[in-house]
Amino acid sequence: MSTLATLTASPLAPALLILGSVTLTLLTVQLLDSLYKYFLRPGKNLRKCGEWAVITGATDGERLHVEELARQERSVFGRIVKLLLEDIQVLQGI
Amino acid sequence: MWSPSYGNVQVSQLGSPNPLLKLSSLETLLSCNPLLHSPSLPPGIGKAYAFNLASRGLSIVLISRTKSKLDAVAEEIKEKYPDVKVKVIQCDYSNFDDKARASMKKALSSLDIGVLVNNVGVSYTFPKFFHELTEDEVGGLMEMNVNSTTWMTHMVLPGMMERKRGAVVNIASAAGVNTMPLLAQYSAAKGYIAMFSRGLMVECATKNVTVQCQVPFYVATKLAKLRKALTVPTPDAFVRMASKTIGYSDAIVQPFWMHAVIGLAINSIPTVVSDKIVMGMHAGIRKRGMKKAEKAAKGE
Repeated sequence: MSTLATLTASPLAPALLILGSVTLTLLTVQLLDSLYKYFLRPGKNLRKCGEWAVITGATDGERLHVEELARQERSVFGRIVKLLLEDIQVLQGI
Repeated sequence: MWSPSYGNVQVSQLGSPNPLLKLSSLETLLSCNPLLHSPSLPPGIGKAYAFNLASRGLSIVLISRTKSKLDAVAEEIKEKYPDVKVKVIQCDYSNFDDKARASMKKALSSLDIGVLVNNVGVSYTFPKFFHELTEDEVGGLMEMNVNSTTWMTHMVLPGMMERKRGAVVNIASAAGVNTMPLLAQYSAAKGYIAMFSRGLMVECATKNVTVQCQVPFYVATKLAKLRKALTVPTPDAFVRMASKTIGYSDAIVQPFWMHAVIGLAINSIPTVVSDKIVMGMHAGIRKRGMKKAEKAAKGE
């Protein structure tokens, strides 16, 4: 008997089916909710909040170590890509 | 040591250089504080917010340390949005003591403030072990990140609650919601802001006031000399997405979509693994930072 057939024959099959469906539904709802919030939801009319907006640190940028971090991040990413490319070349060799 | 001198708050209306208040200068403090003694820093998220909110018809109060830069940004806004009123307040949040706070309170008291963007903040010069930070750095991290936001919110919130409208936007960092070895105090300070916002969001909901905390990863500021990339938005691109979330009920917001993907990825690998990766990354940057600092010290 194949694995799939064993699974479907199992008495747990209906429970697993329900569990899977619920999980999938929740993830889909979450994804759609995120897509809506990031790309479709309109901004609010902030003028309704009041006349003035107060912004601190409006001219001096935050002093961050970001430059180095990002460089490192890029180089890590670059290294991964390089490794992948090497792997592909090795695989092609085979 | 942390300067005992009084704070520095100066208020003026654009076009009429009319300092209502002028307190002691901070040169002495700055000269002994490597963390705050930073070269002239280019604008980032704060300036982008100013333009974004001006474009939406709000009048703008710019608060920052350097008067000349404030005036320059104010002029720029005026040029682009001639109908928008702009006010500048000079304030150094590294020394936001009771006198400075009283001045700030007075300067803001007559305004119908709809939106408060707590953007000011400071991080490590580079990742370090906590015990390697100087006392000035430890103090600065608390003053600039925790105290500024706490006090500003305490000042502005009563009016918002009374008018039953308003939005507080706290700019924190992904460090505030993720484990950040070698940036522990920065991470903790931003974590404070995150929990502060979560509580306030629920507390103020009945009065139609929202308090949100934005927790971005990297943004391409001129300072960071970062070119924009898929994972690194320009301040404008970041704020375009971020400002659309203002007024909604999510307390913790990851405004830029690609940052949300990164966050999801980090949180989906086991903590033991992600902690080690971040620690390794930061340890590497620390080493190079130490070398640079050593060289600079020798050069002087």
